[in-house]
This record gives sequence, C-alpha cells and structure tokens, in this order.
Amino acid sequence: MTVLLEQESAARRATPSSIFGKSSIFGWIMVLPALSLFALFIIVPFIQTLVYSLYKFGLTSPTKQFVGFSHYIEIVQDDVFWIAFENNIIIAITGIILQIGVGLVLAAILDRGIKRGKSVISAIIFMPIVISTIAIGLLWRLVFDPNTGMIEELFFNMGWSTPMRGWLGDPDIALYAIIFVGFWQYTGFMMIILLAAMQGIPRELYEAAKLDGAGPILSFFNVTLPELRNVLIVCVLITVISAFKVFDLVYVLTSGGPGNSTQVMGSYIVQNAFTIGRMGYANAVSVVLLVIALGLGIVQLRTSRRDR
Amino acid sequence: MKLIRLAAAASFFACSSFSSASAETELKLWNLTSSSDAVNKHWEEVIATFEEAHPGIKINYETFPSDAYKTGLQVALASDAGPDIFFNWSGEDAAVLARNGLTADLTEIGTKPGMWGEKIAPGMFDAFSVNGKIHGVPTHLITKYMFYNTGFFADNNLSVPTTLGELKASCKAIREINPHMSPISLGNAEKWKGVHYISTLNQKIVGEAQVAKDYALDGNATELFSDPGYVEALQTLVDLSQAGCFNKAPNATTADASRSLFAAGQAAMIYCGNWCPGTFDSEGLEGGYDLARFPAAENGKGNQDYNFALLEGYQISARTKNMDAASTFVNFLVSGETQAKRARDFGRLPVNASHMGEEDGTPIFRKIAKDAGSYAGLVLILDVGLEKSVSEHYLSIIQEVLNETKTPEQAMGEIRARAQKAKEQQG
Repeated sequence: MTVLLEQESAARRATPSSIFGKSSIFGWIMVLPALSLFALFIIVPFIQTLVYSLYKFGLTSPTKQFVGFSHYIEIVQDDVFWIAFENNIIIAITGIILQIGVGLVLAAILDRGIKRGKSVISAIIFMPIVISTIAIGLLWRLVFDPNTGMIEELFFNMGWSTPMRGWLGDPDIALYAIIFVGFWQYTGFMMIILLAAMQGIPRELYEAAKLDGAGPILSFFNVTLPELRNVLIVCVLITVISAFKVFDLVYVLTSGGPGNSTQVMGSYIVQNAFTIGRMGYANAVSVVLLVIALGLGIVQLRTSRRDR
Repeated sequence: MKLIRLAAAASFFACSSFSSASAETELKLWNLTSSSDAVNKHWEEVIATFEEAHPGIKINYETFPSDAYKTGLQVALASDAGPDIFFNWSGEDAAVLARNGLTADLTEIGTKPGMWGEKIAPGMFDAFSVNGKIHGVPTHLITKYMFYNTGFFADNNLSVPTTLGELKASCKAIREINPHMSPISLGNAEKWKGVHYISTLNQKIVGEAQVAKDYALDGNATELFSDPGYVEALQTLVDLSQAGCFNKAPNATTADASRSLFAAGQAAMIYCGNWCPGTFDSEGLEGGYDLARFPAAENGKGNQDYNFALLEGYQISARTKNMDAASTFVNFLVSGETQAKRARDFGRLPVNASHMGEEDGTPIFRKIAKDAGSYAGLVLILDVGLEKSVSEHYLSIIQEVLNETKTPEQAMGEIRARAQKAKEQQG
C-alpha cells in the first residue's frame, strides 16, 4: 500500500501539467502567502546583495559606481578576509568537537548515568543559551579582564601564570577564549537536543545489547550513536552554520582584535559596511558567506537523504 | 589658540535668541548614551528649560551607544526615520554626511541676528565646514591630558614628566617604588586609546604640517606616510611599553577598566580626556589628581605646544521638516547660559564662555579652560581626519605593534600601502 502511494506521489511530481493544472491552483493559492514572504525576505534581498556587490558605494552615498567583479577579485587577495575565513573554520571545527562532543557525553550521562536531579542539572547546563549573547560577552569580558578579572584572580591564587598580553589581548589565545565562551553558551543546547533524541531510542535495543554481553560503553557506540545519526547531522549543521554566522560574541569580546587576529566574516562584513563605508565590498563578502552556508546546507541535505 | 577668550569675545555680541518655530512641533534629538548621571540629568534639565521657553516645541530625546550610534545614524539619515538634530564629532564623521547631502547647510541661518554666528568664534566652524559651507554647530571642545595621582607623586618625591625621556625614567622609578603600581593606565581593547597616543606622538614627532598633508592623502601617493617620524612614533609606544610604563595587557583592558585602575590608585598616571575627572571622583580618587600636558618629544619636528583636542557639536538633518525649530534648539545649546551649565554640570569646555565666571566649574575644569587658551594648535586625531580604510588599519596595527607581533617598520609599510591604495581609489 505504502509503495503504491509513493509511486502515485512520484508520478504526480513528475508531470508538469499536474504542477500547473487546474487541480493544483488551490495548492498554489495556499502556498502563495508563504512564497510571497520567502521572495520578499529571502530572494529579493539575496538578488539585491548580489547586484550591490558589483557596485562601489558607501552607506550614505547618493550614487553607485559599477565595478563588475573587482570586489570578488579583491576578496581573493585580501589577507584579512582569509584570516576571517580561517577563524570561521576553526570555530566550526572546535564547535563540533566541543559543543557536540561534550553535549553528547553530558546527554549520555543524564540519560543513563544519573538517576536523580536530572531536570535541575539539565536546566543549569542549558541556562546560558537563554541569556543574550551581548550580555554573555560583557560578562566574560569582566571575567577575562587582565587586571581585575576572576580568571586572573583564580590563576594567581593557584600560583599559575596567565598570558602577559591577556586572554583577549594575545593573538594566539584570543580566538580560543571566544571559542570557550561559545562552548559555555551552546553546549547545553546541544545536550538537550541529543538527550531528547536519546530518550526516543527504544530500551529494547539496550536490553538486546546487554544480552549480547555489551557494557555501557559498547552500548553507547553500537546502539546510541547509530540511532542518533540523523540528529547528530542536524547538530553539526546548526553548529557549522552558527560558526559562519558568528558576530556578536566576537564584536563584544575583541572587536576582531588584537590586530585582526579574531576577525570573522560577520565582523569583517560589518566593519566594511558601517565603519569603513565600503558597502559594495561588504555585499561581496556577504555573497561569499551565503555561498558557503548554502553549500553546507546542500551537503547536509544530501547526507540525510542518502541515509533514508 | 585662544579658544575660550575668542569664544567669550564673540559671544559679547550675542543678542536675544532667534525663535520663529511654529506651535506643536516635535523634534527628534539623537545623542550618545552616557553612563554618567550628571550628563543624563543635564540633558533632562536642558530639554525641560528649552520646552518651557518654547511651548510650541517638544524634544524627543533618544540616545545610543557610540558604535551603534555611528551605524544607526547613517542609516536613519538616509530614511525618514532619522533625527532632526544629532550629535556628531567634527572632522570626517561630520564631513561625510555633509558631502552625501544628508545634513542641512547652516551657513545662512547662522548669520541671522541672535544666532550662533554671533556667539562662537568664526574659526570654530571650520571643523564642521565642507566646501566653504557650514554643516554643524560646535558646542564644546574635548581635550586630553596626562592625569597623575598627586598623593603618590608627592609621597615619593616624583616630579611630573615633561619630556618623553623623563616619562620613561618615571616609569622605571615608579616600578622600583612599587612593582604592583602601573605607571600609566592604558586600556586599548577598543583600539581608540592607542590611536590617541599615536595621534599625539605623530604630531609631536612628525610635525603638524606633514601630518595634515598625509592624513588628507595629499600629494604623491608613493610618498604618503614615508616620513621616518611615523615609525619613530610607533617605536616610542613600544619603548614606553618595554620600559614597563603600562598596566598588564593594555590590548585586553577596556578604556573603562583603565580609568577605574587609575581611580582606584593602582596606576600613577593616565592619558585621559576632560570627561575623565567625573569617573575619577566617583570611583574613589576624589580630587586626588592633577594634570599636565602630554610630554614633549625632545627632537620632534612638531610644535610641542599643540594639544590633543576635538570640537564636538550638533548637525541638522537635510530632511528635517522643522528647520526653524531645529535651528532654534541648536542655537539654545550654544547660548551663554546653556554653555555655562554644560561646563558646570560635566566639565565640557564651552565654545561660548560668555556666562562663565572665574569661579565656575571644578578646579580641574578651570585649569583645563585656562590651559586651552594657550594651545598653539590642535592635534589632528588620526581616526577623525584620515580616510576610514586607512585609519581602521592603523587602529588594528597599533594593537599589533603594542603586542610586538609587528615591528613599527612593518606596520608603517602596511599603512603606506593602504594609503596609496586609498589615494588611487579616490582618483
């Protein structure tokens, strides 16, 4: 029965007349509001960004000068763009390892290792995600302060040394300080998603694994992880796209400094658009960012389809 | 430049306030957000006084933090949602809006009887002029000094450094007296504190004429910023850092935190603006400080009597539908009474000192006001006068030089390349 229905559905999809035929007019009418909004808020701005990236103009310039693809050529030669791109990649990779990795371990502990106080512990770990990122940035700025910050005090009392240029002032450390704050904020979110998925795994699978002689660790690798595959793909996608969209935390914690060492594509777009006044160039960087995000989205969709 | 005296002389001719605004007019006024209670109270009172004197005009006062302000202002002015009147810094920030036709030409209206043309010295409008047209009215001058902890200096028989050589020696002496005391508090996390040092050092070492030429990208593109003094200015900052002058990790310390360090007695000196004493007093130093000019560069080519200063003021949107009411309000801001109140309330140097008495203001304010009369000229501020793509890179590179991840020579090589590119793009 299911096979027949799928065949029928596929046949309908394949016939052009069914898309534009009288029978589907009602369908078009029903999706028109959503399509209009999608076109208004996604398609039109995208085309506008694409077109603007070919022009040279400032935010308040009365005129625009057509420069063709010169902004894209400039992007390839722009050292700061590549620093920003590399930083986004580092944030994405460390995000996957730290946020999803630790979130997974925490979810497993809460799912099968802890009997009491699960809700309280989950709430505490989840809490940072509901706080504004700007507020979190300001809070951590105080914590990282090289003269009066809590971490400085802690390290001093433990007899440990701290970086002479400060946690946020050292180009080799600042990005990882930002990543740590992101980890603190988002791990709870990943944990909750994974915990919800884990609780949906049939208990019989664990019982069967136990009968086969598998301990908790083997069960985790042979039952839990395979069952979480689709959710993990979603988590990876969320983390990677968030990593490429990151702006606020960087802006508040370091403003892209010291130098340009913590610049990310989001902060670089804002700097070019609103501080330097190069709107065309900022639009070109936005297009590149969009292409990357779209590419990642397509990879995710293909991966999940292959799984089905 | 005898700014205060000039302003006072100009205001002598001031007549009654110009007012031809129609009834029930609403004006949107935009300003920077301030964490100072004194500033916020001042604005409440000024607006209330104005509305009482002009019953037909209502002022809707809105404030924004500095970075959001610059961005939001540009967007808003290009739409109908923008302010009628808004605060702005003189220099490139104001000029770019004028060049793009977003600000009203105030040249003619200022010449009417009772208007600002009679209250402010003519030279002050240069800072808000584009192509000979006035696009803003200055209201006050901000300036910077080297503040020092008088108790610490007196207890340890230290003299206030007057040259850069003496400053380095003072840093070493202070570290020997108390290794935990920072000789100078510096917070360059937001990048603008460092640029104030370099603006001052560039003027003192390179010289004001060459600096003005380079900041304007004037002359042959390949020769811009090629004066060796620019490298020397950056090297001086490195030398001060290596002499132990600054607190730990200045690039990770915010400007607010650096003021707090000085106010808490954990730093002996700070290069800070005339807006800083309020913080020093409220955070515990309570008058236990004095000020001096930034030390002179011994072999510098610049006039060592120049001082860091910038005019700030108000512009009127070209889109305002209430030009008369808006200009009436701006004129009110530069009236003798309002200017004196501004100076008393939060220590800004008024452009019109006609109502300032000898005993008005705090002792520090009076000292600054008196000293401002002896400035030989104003230091050009790098990120105010220089094209933005170059100045933004300069801001970043100062952090790198301070961190010693780039040498001053490497840094100036990059600045020269940026300046050349900006000049070529300007055509």
